[in-house]
Amino acid sequence: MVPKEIKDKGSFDLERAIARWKKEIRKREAFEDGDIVELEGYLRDKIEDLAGRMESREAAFRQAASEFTALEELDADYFRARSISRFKGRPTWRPPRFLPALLSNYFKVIARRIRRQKAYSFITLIGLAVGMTCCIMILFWILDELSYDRYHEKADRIHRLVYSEEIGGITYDYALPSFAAAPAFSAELPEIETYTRLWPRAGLFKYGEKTFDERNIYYADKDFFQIFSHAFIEGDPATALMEPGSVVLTRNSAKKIFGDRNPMGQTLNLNADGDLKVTGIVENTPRNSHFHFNYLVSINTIQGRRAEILENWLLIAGWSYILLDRGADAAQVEKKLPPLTDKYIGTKAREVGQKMLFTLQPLTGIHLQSHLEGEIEANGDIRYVYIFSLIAAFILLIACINFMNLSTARSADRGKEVGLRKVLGAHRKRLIFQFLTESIGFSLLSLGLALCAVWIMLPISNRIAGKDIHMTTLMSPSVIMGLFLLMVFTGLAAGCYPAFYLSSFQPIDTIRRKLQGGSRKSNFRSILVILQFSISIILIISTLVVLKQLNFMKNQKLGFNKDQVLAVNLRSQAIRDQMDVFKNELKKHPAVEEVSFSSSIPGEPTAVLTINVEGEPEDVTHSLDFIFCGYDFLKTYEIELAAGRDFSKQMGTDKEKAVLINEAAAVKLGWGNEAVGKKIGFSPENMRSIVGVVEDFHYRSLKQTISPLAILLQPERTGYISIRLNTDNVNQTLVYVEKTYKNFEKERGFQHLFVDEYFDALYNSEERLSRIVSFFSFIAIFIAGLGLFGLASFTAEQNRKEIGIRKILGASVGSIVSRLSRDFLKWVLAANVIAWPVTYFVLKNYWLDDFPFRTKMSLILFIGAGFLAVAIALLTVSYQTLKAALEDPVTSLRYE
Amino acid sequence: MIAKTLVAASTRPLVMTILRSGENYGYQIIQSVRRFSGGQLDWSEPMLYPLLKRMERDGLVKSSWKMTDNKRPRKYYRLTEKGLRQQSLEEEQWFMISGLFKKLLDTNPLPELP
Repeated sequence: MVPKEIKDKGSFDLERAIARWKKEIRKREAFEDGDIVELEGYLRDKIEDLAGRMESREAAFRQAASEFTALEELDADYFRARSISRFKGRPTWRPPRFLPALLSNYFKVIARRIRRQKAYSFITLIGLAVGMTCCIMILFWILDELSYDRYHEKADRIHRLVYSEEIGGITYDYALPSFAAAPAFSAELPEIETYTRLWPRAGLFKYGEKTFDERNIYYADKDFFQIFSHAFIEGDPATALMEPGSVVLTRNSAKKIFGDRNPMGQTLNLNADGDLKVTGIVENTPRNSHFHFNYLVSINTIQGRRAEILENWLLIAGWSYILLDRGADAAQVEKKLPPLTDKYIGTKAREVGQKMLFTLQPLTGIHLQSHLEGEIEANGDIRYVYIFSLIAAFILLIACINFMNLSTARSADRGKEVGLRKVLGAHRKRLIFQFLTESIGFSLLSLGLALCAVWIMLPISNRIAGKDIHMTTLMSPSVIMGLFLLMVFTGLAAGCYPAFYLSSFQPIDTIRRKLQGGSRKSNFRSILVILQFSISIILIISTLVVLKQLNFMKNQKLGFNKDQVLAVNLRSQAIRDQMDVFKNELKKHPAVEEVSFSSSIPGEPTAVLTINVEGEPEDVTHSLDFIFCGYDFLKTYEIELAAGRDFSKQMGTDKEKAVLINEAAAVKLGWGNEAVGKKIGFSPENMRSIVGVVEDFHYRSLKQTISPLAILLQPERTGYISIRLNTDNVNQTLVYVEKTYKNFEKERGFQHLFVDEYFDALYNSEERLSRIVSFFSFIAIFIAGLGLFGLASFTAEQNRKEIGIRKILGASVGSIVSRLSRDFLKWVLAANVIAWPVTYFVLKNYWLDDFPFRTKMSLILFIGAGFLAVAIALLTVSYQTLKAALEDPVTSLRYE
Repeated sequence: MIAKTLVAASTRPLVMTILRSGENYGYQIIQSVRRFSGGQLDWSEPMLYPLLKRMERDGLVKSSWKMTDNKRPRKYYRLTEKGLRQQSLEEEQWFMISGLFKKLLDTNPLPELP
């Protein structure tokens, strides 16, 4: 080690340099006098040696002395060399790394601090606990989202076969491939162990005299249970779906149909497929599965005309899953699919102008990452996982900042403790350790509180999020590990800065009372407060924007009237056979204004079909959305005509020869305002003329654009009866409709919905987002407010005497309050400056731009959020500042 | 550069070997090692002193202070009886290992290049 002074000396005195060097060496405990003499001899020999070769004696000295840089090790070596016991460890004069006796003291100090500074401890603890509660809840939610489909033993080998096709230059991605694909690929590629297809149905089960109108019936291949793991209560997984006419029930559906009787071997009648034999009963599908079945029917039950869906490459029917061999690489398998596709269907696909591409989707990614057309059930969204993780981190950060700010603000108090500990021999490291123990202790306490809070809140959050997460989730090692890490991380994050800051105090300063309660460090503290409020404001603005967009979508003019429309599911052949009679029967009721049949109701996916246009070559096709309807569809939904006429009973040929299109279609086909009279059709031989153009209306949610649409008069292809009501007494009308329905249809139950509710439900995920974000922004501002409250009380307390003197000198309460609040106000305003552009940028680019129809982020929202934050800050601070300003100066100054 | 573990293992036998021919002092010992190894074996030099200290404790060497010409005290080390025995023992072991290397290298030549 080269003593510093030597470096700066102009003229070099070797003897003095060596003397200083010796002084450094003497500081080390292990060197005895003899050792030092010996080492000095070495140093001198070395210098003599080097002096001949180097330009100056100073340089030689430095070179020689530089070998003694690792003094710490050297003296430990000496210690070991001397110790007779051959004990290898820390030299005895070094303090042990860990003093267990002190630990109890640390905890005592924590307990004492909590007892004596109730308000501060409360603020810190509650802040941390609330922050952790949010984190844990979000952690649970994320874990649940990530757990989808992972319970299958072979989950990592299961892939879904999906399909995209290109027609007329537009690519459509479907979750549903042709049913012919999976068996063909499986037969050709050894990497595919087996496959199963799922064909969804709703149908009427008959057992004895009873009928059950059931959904979630799937037809599946025999290897379904080899691929997916489902616990069998009865039956054999290997053979349950082998024979045609087999059906496997879940526990619930078995109970529903058979009650307490044993269903095995019993016969159930399913309308189109005749008698089915019960061959197995499985546990109910777990909630965290991306599809849920109540009945599985062997797919080879499908016979006759309907069996075409199993073999036709051009038909889309349901979903296909494949099981890859152990060690097979999905990407490699995927590469082999296009040539095979070409082999089987290439020429035929080209004939109809389709380009087909099959790809594989890992099963475990479906729930969060797949958003294809025709998903089996509504999926989650990985974006929400990111958003919520971010929010959780933000909230925890805000809580940690509270801890940091309040600990450093209180540093004047802690200073004395630090000074005393240092005087009594505590090293800085030990103090850092103490403060970190303390913050981790705090975070442990908060974790306890947080777990209680989670326990209380789980039922509520389950209802909001549509989950059923239990506290038992906690019992898995990974969650416990995660919570432990959360606790340690929070403790470290919150405690790091205070620990290093507090432990740096010089004992002499603390005892001289030189420390002004960390006013020195107020810069850093203000940055932290600004950060807290920026986050809060970002969350508030986001809430407002999400709410505004939601509101916008719900109140936007749709181009049709969704209010007071009752839609009844039409799956009854009896009613289809007597449509007009049924319609007239309904219209007898005074509250029924209009009745119409249609293939879909607004909000529902429509059919997508390709058409030819008259005058264009046959191989040029366009794809349009299609709605099939009966008469009075436009009237029922109050859709306006832009040109031409509606379908009419007077024109007998409308069923075969007429079509309506929307304005978007008129634009797409290049006709603008002159579409009426033009002809389109499914083939050049079978053209229909456009009799009318309807104004664009939102037949899908506002999350999607209005696509080109054609409306055909084909009552027999319809699935809903839409009934426009005009009544205050909906219930009474509903009873009438149901009664009429039952007069016509004896077997199938009456299922109905209201179009406005159905349409609004399309925004459920946004609704949920808005609720959750607003909840969390409330939490964020709450914790930030708590911190501000603590800081304000601290400032007021610190300036107590100053305030007293000012008052004596004639300052008014108002001027004192504004003086005390000024800083806080500045911080919150600065937070606005940061938060506004960040929020604008993030929301615009990552959320709002996804909506084709979107609201504007008006300045008012930002100003409003800013005002809200300022108001909350002022309100929080005002209690303390007012209290300080109103205090009688006599009390505050009397103290000494 | 020679591996750290090998340096650690060989330091003591090397020091003893140097001391076999008579008493010597720390700096000289270090210089000898450096010279004969052609600079390859560069000890972190002050580290030798704790080692000498330990060897003295174990009774392998004995030290005595002597004044040099320019009136500086210098600590000289020489091998004890025990140190001498230990030295020849370790010498044998090292030669055994080195001989083993030689034999192995002779009987296991590198494969011929094609």
